[in-house]
Amino acid sequence: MTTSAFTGIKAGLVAALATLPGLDGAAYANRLRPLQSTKSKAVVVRMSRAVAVEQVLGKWDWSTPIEVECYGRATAAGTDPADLVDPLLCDVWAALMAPALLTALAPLGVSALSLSPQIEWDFAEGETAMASAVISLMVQHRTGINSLTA
Amino acid sequence: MSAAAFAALEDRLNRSAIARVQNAVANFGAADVGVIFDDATMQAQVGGMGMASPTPTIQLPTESVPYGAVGTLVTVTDRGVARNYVVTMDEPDGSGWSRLALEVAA
Repeated sequence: MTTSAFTGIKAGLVAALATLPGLDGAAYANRLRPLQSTKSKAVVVRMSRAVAVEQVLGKWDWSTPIEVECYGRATAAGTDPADLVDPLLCDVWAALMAPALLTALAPLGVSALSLSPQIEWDFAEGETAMASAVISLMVQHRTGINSLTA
Repeated sequence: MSAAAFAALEDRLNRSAIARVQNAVANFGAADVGVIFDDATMQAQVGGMGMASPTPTIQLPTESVPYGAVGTLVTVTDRGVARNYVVTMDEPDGSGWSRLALEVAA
């Protein structure tokens, strides 16, 4: 079965983030079901909309934005929710900017990874405080003009 | 009926009601008081996915709520299991009944 470059890139990002310390493998792709209350941290890689231009004859040069959502949950009362997600946010940012990730995704036609200088935080309270921080990764990659593979 | 008499009647009614409908006991550091404990799961709208979390609350007669309850520790014993919480919100409804929102204590 043929898979598109988009699916491969998404899977590569999830695989890279799943190994982050303290995440216990809680890295998901395009998940909509809320994180269960037994999980304290998670990352979600979310695809939205991709646009291409034909800069080279017979090739599409894609700009594919991917949202990366970081989630954290406190274990007890009295914690600033922003502090919960901050270490994970730092780790995710560093992992996405690591040269090794670009090297790993290069076979999928990826030529550049860049993070938008923007972070969106959300907060909530239940049994304990919860927080999310969302960043946006722009993936530049090339496919053939007659297929969605690199 | 005077306001004081009405308030006394209201307190008596609420004490009688909680004695019949309580499903847990709470202790703010003194005597146990009967409460209605609810720990329903909600889905917090954070990020694109959201997070599920229990939202523990207790309901009890306002006269059983200690003065300045917010920030105090309360132990709730539900079905034989005791757990410590911090009161994060005190919502008296004006008719002698209060709802306290709780967070898990450290």
